[in-house]
Amino acid sequence: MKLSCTGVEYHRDEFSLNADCTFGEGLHIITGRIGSGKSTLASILAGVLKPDSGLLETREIHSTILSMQFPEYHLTHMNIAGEIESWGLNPGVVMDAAELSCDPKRDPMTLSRGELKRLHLACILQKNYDLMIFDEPFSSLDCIWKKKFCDMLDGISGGIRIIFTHESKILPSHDYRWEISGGILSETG
Amino acid sequence: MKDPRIRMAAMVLLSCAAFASAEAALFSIAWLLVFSERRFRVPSIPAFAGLFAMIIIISIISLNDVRGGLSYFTRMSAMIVIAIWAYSEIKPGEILDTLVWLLGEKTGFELGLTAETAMTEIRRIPEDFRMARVAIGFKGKKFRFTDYIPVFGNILIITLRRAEEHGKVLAGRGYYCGGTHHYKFSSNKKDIIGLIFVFPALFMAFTPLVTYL
Repeated sequence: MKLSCTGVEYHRDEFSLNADCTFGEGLHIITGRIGSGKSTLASILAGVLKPDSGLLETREIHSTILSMQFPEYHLTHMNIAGEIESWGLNPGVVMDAAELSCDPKRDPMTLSRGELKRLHLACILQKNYDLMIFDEPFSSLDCIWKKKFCDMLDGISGGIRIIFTHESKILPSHDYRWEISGGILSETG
Repeated sequence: MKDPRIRMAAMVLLSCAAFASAEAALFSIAWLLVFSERRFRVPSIPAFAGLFAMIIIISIISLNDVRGGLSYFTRMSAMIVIAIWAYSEIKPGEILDTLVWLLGEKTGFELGLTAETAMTEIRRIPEDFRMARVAIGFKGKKFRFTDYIPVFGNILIITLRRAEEHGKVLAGRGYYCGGTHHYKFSSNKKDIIGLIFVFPALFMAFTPLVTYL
């Protein structure tokens, strides 16, 4: 299983992003300052955004998910149970995993941002994807839930998992570390 | 049109004329083709198509009314085209400039700031909609017509929340009411001629009314 970028470039006004990299199986952490291009690269790797030039190649990747920074974008139903079922999952199981004890008929937009993030991450982690890309998964989560999310990620074996984050203290055990600096993605450990 | 004051005046007057008469509505469209830069960019094509679909349905239903569905269709379509033109031509800061010039640094500033915030949020709707479609794609589903209701409902709530946060940030920075704003306008001969040619549309719209009275 492999995801590789060869000479990938993306430019908008003064902003530029260059990536020449290969992501193998395991957990990858990608950090960078605000505006460095983390969300842009996440979208490119997920195939949502087309780079200006370069080649994106995948091998043995049959399913992909991009968890966007703002969980509201993922909502397609007007009640929690419907939303969970739209992922093909059991509402009871997911609500337990997300530690939500509210009425399943409640509008998900009435949940707090943190609760919504928990619901969204629980949906994704209940499923198996070959390539999982998380854009700022720790945002809106408290310390307890950051740790829980790390444990959940540690429990997943196989596949390529890429986390784009600012978080520096609470991180899951990872295999590779990358940084975007000056518009260039480079491996740092 | 360079001068936002003239552009906004033309927009308001042409909209009134187009609403009042089908002939004036057609004249307004012709005016746009002659005097505007002919930029027509909609914030959301599905929303725009939905609006047009509603107009068509109402026009068909009211075909046998006194004024006729065709007149309704012409007038409403012209108003939408004028709105799209106004949206496409407007640049960030122009509404604030114009309203401060027109109504002063208290009321004008308040209304201008509110309008600029609204415009910023409207400009973000296409991106929000694109992201929602991407999210549906990741669920392995195709975007269906029935998805518009929850997706646009969510976008509306997201937009209102962002506007509320914006308001809180302004309040947190000490904003209370009104403010100083230095505007700068420049206009050319084409702007003035364009404004003059708005008046025939008004004349066409309101002459039958005056004759009737």
